Amino acid sequence: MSDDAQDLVARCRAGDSEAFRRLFRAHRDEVARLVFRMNGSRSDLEDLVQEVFLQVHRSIGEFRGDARFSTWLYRLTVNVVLMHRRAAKSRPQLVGDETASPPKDPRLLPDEQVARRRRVDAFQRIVDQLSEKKRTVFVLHEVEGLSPAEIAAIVGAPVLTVRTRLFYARREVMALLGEDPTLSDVVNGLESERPPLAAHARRETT
Amino acid sequence: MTPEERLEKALDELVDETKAETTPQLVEWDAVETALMRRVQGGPISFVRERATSGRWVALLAAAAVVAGALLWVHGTHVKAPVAPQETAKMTEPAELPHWLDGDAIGAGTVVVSDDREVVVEHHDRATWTLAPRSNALVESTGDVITVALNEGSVSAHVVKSPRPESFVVRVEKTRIAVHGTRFRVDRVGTKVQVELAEGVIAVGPVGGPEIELFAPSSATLSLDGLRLDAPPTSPRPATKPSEGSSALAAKEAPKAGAALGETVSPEEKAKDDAERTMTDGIRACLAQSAVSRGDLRVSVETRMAVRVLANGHVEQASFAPPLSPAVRRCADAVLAPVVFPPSDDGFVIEQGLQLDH
Repeated sequence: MSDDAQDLVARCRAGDSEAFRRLFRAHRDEVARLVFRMNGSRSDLEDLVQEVFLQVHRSIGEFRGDARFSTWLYRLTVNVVLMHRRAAKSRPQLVGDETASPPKDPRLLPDEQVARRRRVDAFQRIVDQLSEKKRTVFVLHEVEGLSPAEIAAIVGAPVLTVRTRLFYARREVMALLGEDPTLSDVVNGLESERPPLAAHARRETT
Repeated sequence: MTPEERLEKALDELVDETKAETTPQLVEWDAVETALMRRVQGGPISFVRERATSGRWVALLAAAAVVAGALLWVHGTHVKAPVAPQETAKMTEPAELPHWLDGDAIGAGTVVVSDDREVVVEHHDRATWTLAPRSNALVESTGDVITVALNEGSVSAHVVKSPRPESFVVRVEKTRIAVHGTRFRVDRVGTKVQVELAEGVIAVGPVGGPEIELFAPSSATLSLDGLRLDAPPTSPRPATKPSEGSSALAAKEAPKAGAALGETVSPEEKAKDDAERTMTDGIRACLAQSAVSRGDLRVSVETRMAVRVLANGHVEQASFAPPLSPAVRRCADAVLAPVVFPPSDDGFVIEQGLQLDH
């Protein structure tokens, strides 16, 4: 953690609300991204981000600096999302509550955007079918790019356990991919003619 | 490529596409930050003697004009222009000016606390409510129905008439005051709730229980549990159709209202009329709660009530033909239980048609 970050956390622990505001601004994007990827829903995004930072505010006194702040923040975020999903299971589900339109990617044509959204939604539904533990490590590793050691610190499990969960999660996802008709084009390689978006994105950012 | 490799490749591709989703664009960070900071700082919106720049000042003066009329009847004093809270530009400001708050910019869960000045909260084209000095209220909801829980002090409101059954609710503990277009004031005084109605119709009663309609001008005193503590108002209800819940009952009551205006009525007769009105108002509220109205669909509920009253004035039994649904019947029983008529020699039976057009 940089000196600035350490100072910010120390000031937050001392009750400095302006420091907390800066901490929020510094980390809100990564929290929102993780919430979205873990939860897969736009409708609760803002509420959950707010809840995460409320937990940060309440618990910052417990952060001793033994781990990186980002790891601690990830752990809080994961816990908030998991609690939210568990609570949501006992509530009636609203169909079609995704009121926010998906973000537009200027690099794609409108029909490509629709196709991509359909694929991402289908993939999200598949990931949603994983058990809570497998889904957590899968998202943190595959989508967020964290190492098994980092994930182990976040979920509080041995690294070997994380690796095992990752192995089975990936195997389950691949099996489900093969069964999903929405993704048959991707699986059968018929989509190979379209420009690979990720590569496209990487080219632009390098 | 083997099927396994195809699946691996597909998975990697889908993961890449998922990563490419740009989620933060979806978030309105300013709103999230405002709500978050309010929560971590303890919630209440407090007011300081600071105000907006001159351009905003003009807009606020206009807003003050809108609410001034609503406040005149309450205080009998003139109301001056409101000011915006929590602005950074400091200017000299007369001490008696009320604070002003944009109701559309505050969310549910906001606690509004007034200092020695009123706080005017304006929900554009829907309602304007004013928190009296040294009062405290929680905004419970701001959606289709604006709900304000009065923790301390007084609140007055001017609610724009709406086609909805109710659009503005003041809750004081377990007492509920609901309106859809009116001007009224609610005071929390110790363990009592005083309601003054200047215009329109409101429904008062316990949260989740039967409500009684009040017609302007009138007032009522209730307990914090929503029970009416004072005698029903002596002013007559209008002989014309009083509200959408109207009817045969109103027509039946018109002669009594006339009597109250001009003729001599004995205390016993008046007490009997009052008890009967409490009973019928309550049951009509039960019917109204059960009637579902959607768009152009008109719902009509009609039943004939027969109530047997004992010599000691207590209701012995009540029957309805056609019978009420179980939920409405339970509600009606709850209404009838506390009703007490003046004692009589042999008791009596009240028969009455009840109709609700919704």
